[in-house]
Amino acid sequence: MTSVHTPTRDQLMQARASALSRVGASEEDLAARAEAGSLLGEEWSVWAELREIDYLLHGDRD
Amino acid sequence: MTDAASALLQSRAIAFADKIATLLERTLPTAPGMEVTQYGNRFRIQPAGGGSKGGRVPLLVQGEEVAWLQLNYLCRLDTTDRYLAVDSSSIWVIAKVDRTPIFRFEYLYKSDRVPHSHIHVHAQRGALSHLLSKAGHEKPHEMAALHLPTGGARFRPDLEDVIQFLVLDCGFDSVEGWLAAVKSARAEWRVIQTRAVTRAMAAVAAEELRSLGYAVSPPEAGEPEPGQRMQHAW
Repeated sequence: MTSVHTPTRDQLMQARASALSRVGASEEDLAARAEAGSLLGEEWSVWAELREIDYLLHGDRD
Repeated sequence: MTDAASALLQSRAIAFADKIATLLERTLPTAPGMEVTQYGNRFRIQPAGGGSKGGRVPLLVQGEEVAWLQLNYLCRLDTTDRYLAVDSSSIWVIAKVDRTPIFRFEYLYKSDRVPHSHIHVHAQRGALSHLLSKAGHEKPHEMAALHLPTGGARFRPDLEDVIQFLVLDCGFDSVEGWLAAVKSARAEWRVIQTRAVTRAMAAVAAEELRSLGYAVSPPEAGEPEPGQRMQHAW
């Protein structure tokens, strides 16, 4: 019933990039709009996805 | 983390995901299965599906998909190194028409400035904007910027509560027997939380049990101090 994925760091970074491409925005733009409370439409889900991936990476982004 | 510990943790994450999958399958039509993403000792648990479908359960009205229930649970090894601890959970209701959340039920294990368990509502109300402007709020026109408290870590709503709200209050499609599934999941959740509250407030629990006629003795080391987080965390 439940599938399990164990992505590599590179695959998670690629997933971040793919998420951003769905809304055609840079992470900086998205962060600014999130801070201002002005996310639009799909940007909400993309912003959440970036934070989820960052949680998984837990400081392993750089 | 050892391979054995990693395997144990993964099995716990799968079991947790399976429970959610069962609840969704027994309550909402076309509910997808669940997926667990593991990186080191951290997990994301959400409905299966990649890209823009990831993490979402379709919500139907008379068979038409009009919204999504977007879920995720971010988990890690707890301080005992044996169990899964939920660092955050989010249960969002998103309107398909504009792909924007309407309600966001959220939980944060660590929180300094907002309630650990809270709801965001995406709506507009001129009177609220007026009040928040007068109060000098930094986002007076954003109702969704407010965090409505919902009972802290132990008394927070869970997924089955949101599902019941979606079906009974909002009118989304359900599957036959959905309410029995919700009640069963809620009963299990409340037992888990009751145990946790009892551990954190043992002296209070013991006093209450004695008032009911139970014979309860404190441990030899004396009554434990009540949990600070249990008492005071917002």
